[in-house]
Amino acid sequence: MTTLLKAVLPVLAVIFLTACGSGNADKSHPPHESDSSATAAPVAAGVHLRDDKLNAVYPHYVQLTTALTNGDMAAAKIAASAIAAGAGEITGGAALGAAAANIMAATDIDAQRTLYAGLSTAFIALVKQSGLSSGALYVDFCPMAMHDKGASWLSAGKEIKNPYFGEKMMTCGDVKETILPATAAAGTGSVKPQFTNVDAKVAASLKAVVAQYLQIKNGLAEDNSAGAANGGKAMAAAMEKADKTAMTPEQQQLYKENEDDLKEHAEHIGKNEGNIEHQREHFAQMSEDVYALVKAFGGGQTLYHDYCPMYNDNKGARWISETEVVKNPYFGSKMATCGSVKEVMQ
Amino acid sequence: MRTIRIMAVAALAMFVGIQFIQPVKNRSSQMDTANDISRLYPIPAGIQDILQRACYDCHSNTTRYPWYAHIQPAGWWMASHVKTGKEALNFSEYGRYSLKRRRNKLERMKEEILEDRMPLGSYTMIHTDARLTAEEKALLVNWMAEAGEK
Repeated sequence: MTTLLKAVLPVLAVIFLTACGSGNADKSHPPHESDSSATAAPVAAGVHLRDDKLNAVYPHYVQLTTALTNGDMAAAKIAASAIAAGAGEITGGAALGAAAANIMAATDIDAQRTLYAGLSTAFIALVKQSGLSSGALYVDFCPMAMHDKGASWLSAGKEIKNPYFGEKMMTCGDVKETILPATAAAGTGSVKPQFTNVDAKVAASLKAVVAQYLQIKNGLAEDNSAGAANGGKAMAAAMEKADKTAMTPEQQQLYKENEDDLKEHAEHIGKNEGNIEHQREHFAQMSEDVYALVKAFGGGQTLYHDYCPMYNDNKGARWISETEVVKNPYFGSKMATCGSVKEVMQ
Repeated sequence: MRTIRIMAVAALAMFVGIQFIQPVKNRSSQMDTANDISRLYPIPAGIQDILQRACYDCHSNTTRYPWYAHIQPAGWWMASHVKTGKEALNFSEYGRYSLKRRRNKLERMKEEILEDRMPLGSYTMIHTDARLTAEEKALLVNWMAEAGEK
């Protein structure tokens, strides 16, 4: 492993230096490849974030991570100043900017590393919000960082190079999550409807039901109980009109397994205007039904299967969305971006 | 003076009159248990007793009527309560629900009990025997969790 590391390091160093040729940070401090524990950041070719402004800051995050991994305080300050400058341009980048400014002001590497934990959390959240258009990023986690509280960071490679301890504990941690472009996620998590012979009338009926589901979902995400209630009433009405006669026996069976449950949730959400938490309880169970139906019949449009692990005392809950951007219906504005896309449903 | 007497007599006549409009009582015949929840999940005697005392008046086809339920308009008010209760959940018709709905209902029953939303406070105020102790709540919730996994 170490020999491999040694063999790979110079290569990575070269990639890094060329990739960040414009970054004066690398030229302003002496390289230290003589030290075998020193590592260069693997700027994986092809990582591109959808948000252009965030994408512009990303190389500086890589520089900062590398600097901390190498224990290079001066380089960390330079990278942090670049992040602070770029963060101002990013929507929702205030926390990132503030953390970067604090790293610039920090007087020792330990303080920088502590601040880096908060910066990474903010950066990871922004990356998830933006999504990738190409490449892959890994969320790494070291349980020992921050006095055993644990902390995360983002890397472009699967190999662990710990920025919280540097050479003291270079390989502490593991990859907790992989962030892939939605289209690549489609390669692994994309589903096509189970039934290929869905009658046009059936498809139209179900599309109307899904449309009302999305209205409920958007109402809840906007903390708009009345909007959700209207969607619930309209969904119950749309279900009354659903054409079951054109379904095959197999399709009828699957539909019936979900029909009475779904209708009850729709009516209940319709009746509970003003009690949004109760509407959300029903929405969690409703989403299971809608998920089953869309998976079997298709939704008439590209839909995203999202999952929030925190809802219902961390038991988690899913929902279906028409947008790739996560907008949490279970917490609304309290935690709008909690959750991730699990599947793309064509 | 005369008008007051006429009004009193009219009110009395109306009160007597409405006594003849009795809502249909919610009492099923003993035989009608094909869809009862006890056919689907094993219900220990202790649980059955709690369900009957605290839930079945509004959530089954058999209501135990208190004396005032025979006097109108209290009976009407009660009938509407039972109707709403049975629409939301009916233990006597549990077998008519889809599998998914059965599981989801059990899940929500647990939440209703844990969050003290059921049995309704307005109901336990009068039906004191329907009040659940902490121990009874735990028994019910455990049973519901077990049944939900079947």
